[in-house]
Amino acid sequence: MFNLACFREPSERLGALKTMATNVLAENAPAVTQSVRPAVVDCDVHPILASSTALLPYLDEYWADQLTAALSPTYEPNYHPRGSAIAQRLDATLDEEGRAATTVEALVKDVFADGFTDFAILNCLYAVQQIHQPRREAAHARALNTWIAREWLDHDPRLRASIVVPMGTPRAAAEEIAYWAAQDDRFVQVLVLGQSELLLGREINWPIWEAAEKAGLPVAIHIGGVFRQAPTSVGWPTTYLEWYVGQQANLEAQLCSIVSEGILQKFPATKIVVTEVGFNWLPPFLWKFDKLWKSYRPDLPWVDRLPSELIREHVRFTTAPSDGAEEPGRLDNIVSRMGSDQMLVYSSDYPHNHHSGSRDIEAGTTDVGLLDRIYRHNASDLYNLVVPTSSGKAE
Amino acid sequence: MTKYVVASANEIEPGQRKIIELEGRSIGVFNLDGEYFALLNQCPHAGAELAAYGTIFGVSASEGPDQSIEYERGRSLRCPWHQWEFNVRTGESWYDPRNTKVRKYEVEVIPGSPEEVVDPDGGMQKGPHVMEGYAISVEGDVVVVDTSRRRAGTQGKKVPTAPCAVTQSASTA
Repeated sequence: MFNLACFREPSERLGALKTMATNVLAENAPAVTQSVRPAVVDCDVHPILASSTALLPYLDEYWADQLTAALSPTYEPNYHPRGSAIAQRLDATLDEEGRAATTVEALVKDVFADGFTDFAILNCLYAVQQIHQPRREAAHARALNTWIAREWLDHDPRLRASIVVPMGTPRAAAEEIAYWAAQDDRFVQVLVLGQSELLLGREINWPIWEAAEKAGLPVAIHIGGVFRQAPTSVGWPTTYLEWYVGQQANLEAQLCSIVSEGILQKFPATKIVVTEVGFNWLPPFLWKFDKLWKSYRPDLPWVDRLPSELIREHVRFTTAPSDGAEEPGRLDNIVSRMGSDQMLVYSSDYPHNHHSGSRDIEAGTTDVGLLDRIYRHNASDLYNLVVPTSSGKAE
Repeated sequence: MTKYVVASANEIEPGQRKIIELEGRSIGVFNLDGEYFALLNQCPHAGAELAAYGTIFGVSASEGPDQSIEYERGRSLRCPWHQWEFNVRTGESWYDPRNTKVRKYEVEVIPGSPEEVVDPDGGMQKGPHVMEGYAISVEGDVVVVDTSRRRAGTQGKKVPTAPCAVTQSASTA
């Protein structure tokens, strides 16, 4: 029973193969017979909206005037305050105000600098989700996604993006997902935040899961929040340190909720990418979840397998921050404890600055096959991104 | 291969159980609405007296979080310590029936009083509790537990189960 669960249905695999044929980089347009390989995907890169006025061209007249009349407040969430150690790496290309990742030129220059990364997925953290007025939130989400498409995706074929959704109104979030899925396949994922108003498994949030599944898109759960309530489950922390570290516990609560509320039975094609929250905390959490599930299973009779088994099948984790996995043997160790080499996907978390470089995780293992899974195959399984083998890159 | 007479049929009322000792092992014999089942009185998890103090419970199942919950009473035995569920008919745990199970014994009810069914030359034997604690002249049917069909025990030697994802990495590599 352990083995079967992880294999895709044959029909699903066929679909993926068909997509592979069409998703190749345009600039290297291959002959029909050209072979492809899974792309190296940087699964978490952050474009920064420097000013809310940049959204004015993408808001309709009513919402543009509303923003202007309010003196164009920013909804910059300060998840990574500009002066803090984590905000931007020291070698990043900066704009005239000293900020990284505010222009597509600067971001592309840095993210693809090593000639290794084939695609990068943009997760824009500008916090439309913190707008409490539902229609304003939806309007700004649409504007932000349009800004991402026009100002970023249109300028480099190696960029992909997550759909920012108005989390305050799940029905509107579902509409946003359907809107982009129908017209722009460069949006390869849905972005939600780890601190939601109600747990992500709750029925009120099902429209988001339903729409993502229907569109065939993974859902990234990223560090961040809607701030309708305190950002930890027991109240307001007083320091940034507490907030950032504390989000890990929120992700445990979200995974508990998603599994327990039956999201993975109700929407069985769901894929989740836990993003920028680390992963070293996962094994003890899974152990406890499994252990207690054996005692309380009758509370959730639709969960017919070990929670860890469901999470291994449906949930992925980005590699930055690395949680110390770059120490010799540590990456092997964590993968062994996770019980799967298919759960980690590569990310740089550019421009954010963590204690180790994006690819330092290579020092944590001697298993090139594992690195190949992390860099290429695991993300390829999620996003169907491939490049021609003739691109001259190392295989 | 031994069958033991452990009680007269009217001794264990529906919904009741009797703890007996056969061949040095403590065993619980249950009467669920006239059907008899016997399980080893020891939880394979941490050793609690599962049969003596476990709760007869129902088994719940559902196709999904918005689907109806099917619930059938009298199907499981839940351990008093950690409430793990065991199928009272098979001894299999709900969550891992192959690797975690409690030993089950065959039970039958046969007509006749103990004197009539016990074979002095082997075969059917008087269960110790019957001999010691109960008059063997009780009229009517008797409950017989069969200790002969042993299955491999699982305590202390769990079969390691490979995590799914690791074993199939070649498929997409």
